[in-house]
Amino acid sequence: MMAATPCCADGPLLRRRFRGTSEEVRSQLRAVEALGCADPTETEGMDDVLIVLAEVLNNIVEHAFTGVPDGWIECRISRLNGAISIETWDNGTPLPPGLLSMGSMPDIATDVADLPESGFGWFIVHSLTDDMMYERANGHNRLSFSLQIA
Amino acid sequence: MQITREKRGDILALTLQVQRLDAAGALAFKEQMRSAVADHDGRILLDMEQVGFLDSSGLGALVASMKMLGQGRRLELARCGAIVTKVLKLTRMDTVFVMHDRLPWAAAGQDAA
Repeated sequence: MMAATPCCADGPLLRRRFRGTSEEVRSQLRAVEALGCADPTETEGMDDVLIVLAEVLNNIVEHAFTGVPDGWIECRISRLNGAISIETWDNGTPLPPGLLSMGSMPDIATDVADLPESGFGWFIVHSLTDDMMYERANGHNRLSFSLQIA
Repeated sequence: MQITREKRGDILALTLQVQRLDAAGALAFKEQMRSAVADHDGRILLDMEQVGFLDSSGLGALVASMKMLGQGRRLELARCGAIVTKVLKLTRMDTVFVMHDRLPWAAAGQDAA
């Protein structure tokens, strides 16, 4: 039997805590990319994981740390039964109510001059995952979601 | 961030020489695009071949770049990779930009061969 690559085995894959900046989000995504995966049929699924994770983490950076001097995010990634589960913790301000239910696409049937330059993020998230959960616990935000990749 | 410029007939061909167009680089990209497109009235094509990752901030920066062109001109994107293409299709922005699988002048060369 061939040895499974780390990405393809069930269990925890990555747990990192980092400062809440867009540069650190980029480093986190590189670390997830570096997990790799030997099975080419899972490449598209892992691409989706990276796409969703980028939006979730950048959203935390943009909205949770106003007035929070030492913002951090902890990201825990694990694999079970062909799905990647992701949990994020941060010490930012609570998510605005209703954010999780918003997933509508901005109107793009307009002249070029009126095209939206933002508002795509949560639409992308909700397009690729449907089990996003949010809770506020002990002054921290926790988001969890999963994507089937195999 | 680095954008190189080259004239290909009436097309201004820009090559984006970064691996990621994301929240960390969106502002610098927009600033560089503003000067890169400033003195060209014709078609503008951005070669995305080296860009392996795009997030919604990067997508917003591409939209902002297209608006810089003015007169309703559409930014043309060439050789988008898997993740870039996925993000554009999910948001249906692949219908807003002019998409090219290949560099148009290379494709023409192949057709002629």
